[in-house]
Parts: sequence; structure tokens; C-alpha cells
Amino acid sequence: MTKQLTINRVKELIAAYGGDPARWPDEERGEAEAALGSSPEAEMLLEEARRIDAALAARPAPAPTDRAFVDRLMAIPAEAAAATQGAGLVSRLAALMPMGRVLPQAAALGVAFFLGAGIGWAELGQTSEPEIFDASAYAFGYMPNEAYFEEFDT
Amino acid sequence: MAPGKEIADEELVARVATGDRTAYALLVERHADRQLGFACRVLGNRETAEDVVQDAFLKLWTHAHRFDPAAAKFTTWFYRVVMNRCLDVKRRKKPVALAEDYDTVDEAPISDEAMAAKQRADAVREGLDGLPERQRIAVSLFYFEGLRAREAAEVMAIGVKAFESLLVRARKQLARDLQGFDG
Repeated sequence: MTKQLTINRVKELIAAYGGDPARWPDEERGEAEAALGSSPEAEMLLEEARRIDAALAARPAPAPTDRAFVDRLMAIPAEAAAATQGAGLVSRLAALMPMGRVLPQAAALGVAFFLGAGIGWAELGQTSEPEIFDASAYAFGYMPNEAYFEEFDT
Repeated sequence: MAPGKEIADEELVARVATGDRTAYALLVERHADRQLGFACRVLGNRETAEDVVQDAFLKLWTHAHRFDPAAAKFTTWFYRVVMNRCLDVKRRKKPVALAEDYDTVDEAPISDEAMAAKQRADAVREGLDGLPERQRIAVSLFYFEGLRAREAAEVMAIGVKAFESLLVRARKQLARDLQGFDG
């Protein structure tokens, strides 16, 4: 490697890795440090680089992990095991069904339908005036009467 | 020294692959702080960074068998897991305003000197936060995480020369951002 090339490389090292030769790549550090003393320009660049290094070093570190977060991380194996067991149970149940995976899904859909229909039917006859908030009436300036608010204040 | 401290990370990962929760807990103790700090610096948001690190540890627990100690050190592999997760999150989300408190804040009374230092620190922070993603990751890995250039390049899955180029561009930008704050 020629001297000029070495100086150029030293400048590149400073530009990338900063003013601390200890952070330069091991395989180039020795030769680069030796070349450094013969180049006032490289010495000047080194000083400039150290100012940037100092600014970076002065940047505060993010706050360390707190106990709650560490607890969350520590809980991962147990949660993963529980999830796996749950998935395994569903698979085993599905395997027992004559129609495999389709039957449980169809059964769940049917239950949801009958529950929804039942709740809707039961509610239909019980709704009284003050419980209905008519958004369109409110939007056009009709305010609910006092009885409406009294019911919610009590 | 904590029990098991002398056990290499790579050995602990091999034990995690067999379902060893003690080995997993040791890896959490050793690496959670570092990885959270790294994710905070890449994302600029602590809450999201915590989610990312949690995902990374979940991946460690469920995919430890995929780690190949012949291919990379554990730290390199795990930094890459966290970095990739950060990049996924950043691609999916719109940029969020940085929380004022994602860095620790000193509330001591402010003298002129301290005010100048604070302004300089703010300029550094804003400069770093304004860097393109890959430059910010390169700076974080090399200057804040203390990785050697070769290892940091390996985390980023790029060559050392390309990594060096990212650092050069980042430092040039920071030098511009810090003009006027030298004294």
C-alpha cells in the first residue's frame, strides 16, 4: 500500500468510524495509526471527528427495561404453552367430529344465530321511549325532555 | 455473577430449543435492555419498541431451533430479528411523533452552559431521528450498541464497505446538523 493511499484510507476510516482508532477495523488500525502522524490534514480530520463522537456519546441512553416489561417477557413461555394447549384441544375435538373442522364452525355459527335472534326478540317488546336516543331528532334541534336526563342522573 | 452467567448465549439458545425456561430467562436478563435500547433508537417510540422486543423474544422461544451457531453469533442473529421487526413496524405504520420522554430527561435547573449542552443534545437527537432508516440503524449499531463494523454489517446483511458508506453519510449529515453548536 502506498503512503498516499494509506492517508486516503485513514481519512475514510475517520469519516466512517470516527476519531477513536480503537473503533477502526482491527486489520487496518496499525498501519492507519502509523500513517496518521505524517498527515496534518488527517490529524485535523481526527479532531473534527472527535467532536461528532463527543456529541454522539453525550446522547442519553433510553431508559432501561422496567420490571413490568421484564415480567411480560418472562411470561412468554407460559403463554405460548397455553396457546399451544388451546390449539391442540381444538384440533383434538375437531378430529373427533365426523365432519372434521367444518362441523364445529357450523355449530358455532348456529349457536350465534339463535342467541342473537333470541336476545333481539326478548328486547323488542321491552324498549321504552326514554331509552331511545333519536340521533336524527337531536341533529335537527329536538332536545330530549327533562325526564330523559333525570333517568340518567339518578 | 448470576448463576449460569458463564454459559455462552449460543448454548442457552440450544437449551431454549428444547423448552428450557431457565435458559430463556437468562437470555432475557442478558439481552432485554440492549435490544429495547436499540429498538427505541430505531423506532423513536418506547411503547412500539417494547412490542417489537416482546415479539422478538416470542420468536426466540418458538423458533430457537432455527438459530444456527455456525452461521452467526446469537447477538448478531437477535439484533437482526429485532431490526427486521422494527422495519416491518415502520413500513406498516405512518411515522409517529417522537415521544418527548423516550430519552431520559434531566430536569435539573438550567444554566447557560447547561442550556447550550441541551440545545446541542437536542440537535444531535433531531439529527439522528432525521437520518434515513438504514443510516440510523448503522449509527445505532456501531456507536450506541458498540458492535464492530463487521458484526454490524452482518446484522444489516450488507458488506463492510456498504456499512462504512452508511456511516460516512450519517456523520456528514450530523456534522451539518451540529454546525453552530460547537464551542
